[in-house]
Amino acid sequence: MVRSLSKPPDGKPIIRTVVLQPTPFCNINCRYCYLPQRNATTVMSLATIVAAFKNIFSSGWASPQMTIIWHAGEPLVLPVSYYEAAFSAIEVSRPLDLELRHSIQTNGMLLSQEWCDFIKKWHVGLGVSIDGPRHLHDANRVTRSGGGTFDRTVAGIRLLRRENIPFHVISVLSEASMNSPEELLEFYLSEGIEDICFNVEESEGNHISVLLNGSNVRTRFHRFLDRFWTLSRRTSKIQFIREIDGMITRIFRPEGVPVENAQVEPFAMLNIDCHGNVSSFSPELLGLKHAKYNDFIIGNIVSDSIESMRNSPAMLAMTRDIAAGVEACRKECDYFSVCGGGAPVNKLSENGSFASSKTSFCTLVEMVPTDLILNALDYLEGNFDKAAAPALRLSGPVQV
Amino acid sequence: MAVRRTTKRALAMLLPAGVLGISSALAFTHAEPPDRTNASESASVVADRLREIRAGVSEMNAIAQKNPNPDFGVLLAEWINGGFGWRNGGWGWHNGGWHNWHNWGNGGWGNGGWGNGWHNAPNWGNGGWHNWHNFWHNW
Repeated sequence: MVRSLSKPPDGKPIIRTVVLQPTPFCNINCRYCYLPQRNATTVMSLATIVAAFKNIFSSGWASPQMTIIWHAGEPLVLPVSYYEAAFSAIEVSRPLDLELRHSIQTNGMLLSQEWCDFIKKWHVGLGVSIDGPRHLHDANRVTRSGGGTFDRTVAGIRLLRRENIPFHVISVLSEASMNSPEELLEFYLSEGIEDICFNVEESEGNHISVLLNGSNVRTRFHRFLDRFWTLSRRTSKIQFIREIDGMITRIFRPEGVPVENAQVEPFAMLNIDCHGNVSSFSPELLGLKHAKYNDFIIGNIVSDSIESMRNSPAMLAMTRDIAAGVEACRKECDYFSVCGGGAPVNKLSENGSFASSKTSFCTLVEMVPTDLILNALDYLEGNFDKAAAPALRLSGPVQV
Repeated sequence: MAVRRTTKRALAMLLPAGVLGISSALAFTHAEPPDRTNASESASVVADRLREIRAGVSEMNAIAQKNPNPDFGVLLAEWINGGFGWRNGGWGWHNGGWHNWHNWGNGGWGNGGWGNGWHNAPNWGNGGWHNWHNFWHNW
């Protein structure tokens, strides 16, 4: 059984995550980046931030546990003082019974001692984008002059480790890295990276993924993930592989526990650009263009109430079409109970419509991990005497 | 939905190990080539298989909730109807393993599968934290 995210009795939405774009500017120019405004140096004003959270907190829609993600550009190009002021201002308006967590996704190149002190002070969650060893990373993650960024990113990661700041990494898998699970693992181990997320290079915005449009990508990713999973677990050094371990919690859950897919739930994710423009659903929609949906903008956080955004033509149209897409997934897809309806941005990019179902993206991120886990479970069940006991003795009860 | 005995056995062994334990156990198991000699017992449709697993987890959960302090090994052996060494402690039942997963409400499962993980902060790396970055791509 799949239910939507829990809602209060009056049917109001719940805002669980706020994605803020402090600036669209990025100090590098990744070859696979889909963000169209990454050269723009606009900065979200403190007044906009204050207005945003006054609006959000007064709406009555804020989740008691809310995450703020600073992203959609390189957040660390702005000074620490900017975030000190922003975080402090948000704290002033935060209801006492609302728990708030800040998180930052960064390329890590600008990390410094000052940043580390700030991250510790505010308990900021941190994700670092790195694509593996130098030749894989520098193949795509380059400066505007085409130079590599590996050294500075690794320097940032080493600083985080020295400061005992927990972080995860996101690695985009491209054509070359898909063939290199052993090399990637060796790199992570050598840098003490324990929590790993893979994003298969996608077609989004103006970027067309060679990998995703290539042949046998499902088979190739299956092989990659299978190999990486198996090798990683032999080392006992890797604590979290999002694609596998995130799926385990969705597969091994009791009946009646909903699978959460915030990307298809109106307002579960509130995404705000540096001008205060608001979108919802998949965060990548922010900044993309589409006439039918008013470029996915449902209002402005400074001038419009969140309640009024609910009835904006763009929001109504997106809600209707995305819900139709979820319903199509529910009817057509064996994996719906662990997915909950896919990623709208990928449906639109790949299929041309929110009101569609299967995508290459969901084939990779939902179906392949599920298949791997179910295959392993099938094997375990078929081989209790000779396989299961030794395997479980190796793992033992583990607190994670 | 009826849960096959083999699935009950697998769940009873896996769940106490927590997410990392399940991941490790299945990875080790999966390292060998699949043996499909018992394939006839396997569900053929993914959706049905997933449903069966959830039904099994629910049954185990119900046993835990109805019996907060007893010897779960005995109860689960009865559930499985095949008793296979609970009392040997091979899978950690007697070392608190059970409590690593069944206490849904307190985050004992703990790693963010359905929202409890949020409270595990600052254990960012293994917790609900990971629920947020599922959506950021090519970045």
